[in-house]
Amino acid sequence: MRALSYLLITTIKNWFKNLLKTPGLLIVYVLCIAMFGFMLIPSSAFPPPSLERLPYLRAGIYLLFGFILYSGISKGLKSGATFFKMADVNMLFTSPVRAQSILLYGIIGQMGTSLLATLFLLFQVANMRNLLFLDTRGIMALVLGWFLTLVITQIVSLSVYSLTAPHPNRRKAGKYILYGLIGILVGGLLIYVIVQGGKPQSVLDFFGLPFMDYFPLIGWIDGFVTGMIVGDYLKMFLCLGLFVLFPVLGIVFVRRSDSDYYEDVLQTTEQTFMLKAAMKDGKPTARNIMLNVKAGKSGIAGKGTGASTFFYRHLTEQRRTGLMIMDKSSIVIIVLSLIAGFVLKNLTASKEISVFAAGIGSFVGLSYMLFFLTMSGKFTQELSKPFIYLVPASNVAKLFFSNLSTVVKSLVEGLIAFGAITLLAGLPVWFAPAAAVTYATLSQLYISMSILTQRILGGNNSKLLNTMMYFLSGGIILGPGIILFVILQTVFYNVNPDLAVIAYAAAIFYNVFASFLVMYLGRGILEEGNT
Amino acid sequence: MLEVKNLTKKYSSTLANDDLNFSLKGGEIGILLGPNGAGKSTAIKCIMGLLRFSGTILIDGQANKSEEAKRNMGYVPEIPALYELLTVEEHAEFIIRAYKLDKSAYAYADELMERLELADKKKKLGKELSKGMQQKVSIMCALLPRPKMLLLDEPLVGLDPHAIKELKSMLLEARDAGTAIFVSTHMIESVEEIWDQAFIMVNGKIVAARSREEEAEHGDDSLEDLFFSITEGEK
Repeated sequence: MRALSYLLITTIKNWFKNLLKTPGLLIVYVLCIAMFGFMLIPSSAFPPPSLERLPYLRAGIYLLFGFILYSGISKGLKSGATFFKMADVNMLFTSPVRAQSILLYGIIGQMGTSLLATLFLLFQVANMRNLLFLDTRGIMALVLGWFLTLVITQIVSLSVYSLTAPHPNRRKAGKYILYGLIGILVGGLLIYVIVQGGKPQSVLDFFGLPFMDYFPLIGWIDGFVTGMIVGDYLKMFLCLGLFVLFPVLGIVFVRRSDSDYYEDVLQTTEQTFMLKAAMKDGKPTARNIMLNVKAGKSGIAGKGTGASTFFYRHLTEQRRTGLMIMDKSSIVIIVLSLIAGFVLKNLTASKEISVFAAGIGSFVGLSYMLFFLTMSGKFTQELSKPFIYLVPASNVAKLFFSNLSTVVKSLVEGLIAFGAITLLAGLPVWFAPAAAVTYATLSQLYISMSILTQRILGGNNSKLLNTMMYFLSGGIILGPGIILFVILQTVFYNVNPDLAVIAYAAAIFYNVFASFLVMYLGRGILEEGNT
Repeated sequence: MLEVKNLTKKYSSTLANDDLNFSLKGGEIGILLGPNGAGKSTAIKCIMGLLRFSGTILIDGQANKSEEAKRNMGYVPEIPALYELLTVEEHAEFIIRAYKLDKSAYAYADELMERLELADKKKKLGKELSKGMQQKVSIMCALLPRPKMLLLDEPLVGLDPHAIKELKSMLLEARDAGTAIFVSTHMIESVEEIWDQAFIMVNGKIVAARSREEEAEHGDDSLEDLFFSITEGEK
């Protein structure tokens, strides 16, 4: 164990030393912690804490935490998981250090990684207070629940792979159990909603049913978080015990199998290492290492020349890796829009909110999601390859065309998403195209913010620093557009609700103008190949 | 020192290693030759205890996955990967602790760093080193415990001419000190002058084995000729 404690302590010590050498990153961490501390202090700027929004929080936990947990386990069944680095494989696995001790070291390392990933959640502390009416204890509960979900997903994923990988029948059984659980959850929800007469409130009520707290994994973490929020400590500790017991049993199994788990983590560790190395070297096949991509028909789609070749190349890649022009994030957006459509249908039918508010609400919600999904688009990958710097065309044109596929993707998913909401919630017909085009141009604006972030900070920064800068530039660039949109909405809606379309038209104009302006100002990014 | 009996490794439907049998004595350098995808790295990983397999692998009479066997093994992987946040000298410190080496290992670490031209990079973090330098640190870590059995997977890739020369001389010194050395490579000419036993692997099987004595008997028909006659005959 001496070697492992030396490794851990020296790594942490050097991490801090390295942090001191990069003041930008240090400031970001200090700001994050300060912001978190500040947000924990109750303030009159936030609404008073209450349990009114607890059902929404619960539904959110089932959706987001459930997705992380079950998709993590599903990945574990297919290809395994790892919390080891390639250096561990080369130097630790081959050393006389006991395999069980190495496993413990890996879990501790994973907890550290998850802790850093939890820092991202701190950006949402204001939203937790404003939208979910959480108090300090509630925020702590949610942050802790998120952290536990990240750690335990990895451990369960690895254990499941170790347990099933050498035995195809076990793997099949594991899949049946996992899909069975998801089926019970989704089927149960549908049946309950139908029995309750299709009321949107019944969706929220379903997750609050007492026995749901004991539904494997997701119910336990929900029970832990909500138990802590409402002060039901018996439920909190019981659910925490169940949630932690599950991976502990997994670890016991892996320990019993002695060093055989080495093979289980080897493939994923190698893949992750190769992917990172390929991305560092700017190899165009970087993404393909992780994805099971088949070439299919050969040849660049369309007839692009010069800068537009980037767009057609993206279309060709998209055909191989995505769902036509769309990708997995589009599915998330479309599923959310369907849920929103059903909820808004009932809310507008019962006159709880106006059609106008339903439209605005869905547009703001999906645009907010897009803000996060656009942050690391194709553009960032393009910058790591030499071609964008070398092709003889204007920088603005290259920036535009290398991002066009993302904009087209957003337009298609926007038309489907807002089309569904328009149909379900009975919104005016103009809403779907107007919102979809605004949404697509907004994606272009988000990309330009990403360009600005890269331009100001340069490359090779931590994700956290980039995210912070992206948020900051978002406030500055989006601000005037949001103000313009809100004013025009208010003014024209009062004259005639259908005239609110003018606000969307103005937003489209602003988005296009601002994105081109930012791209123009940031065009120098293509003159510095070291970014 | 190394005994491999009926080693078979299967990945779902792919047979990566098919009933391999070979052995290597202490003080011998064995080379494993084969085209890309022949199964060389899989065999090395099985010997190093990184993969499940059927068959028996013994290191100095001990099962290869046992702690005793690992104490006697050194490994230079195909792709060097260091701890990004550990300096070069901290890598040495880590190995000394992991293998529970005595105090004399510190002096030996200094000697290895000197010979591999790492002395002026002692305080550099793993992530600050070039690939060639990382390879040198991997070699230092493998040699530091003075293993009885040393496995090297394509060790010469990425090294500069000086490092190649130094590594060869280190391997010969280790051999003379009684270490069994097993090198997987597809660069025959680079190991031409140092091998004692050669195994040629194609499609997961060892299709030919030759000792240095046999090589002498074959006269003009060199190992390289044998390799090409086998691998090109396969096409």
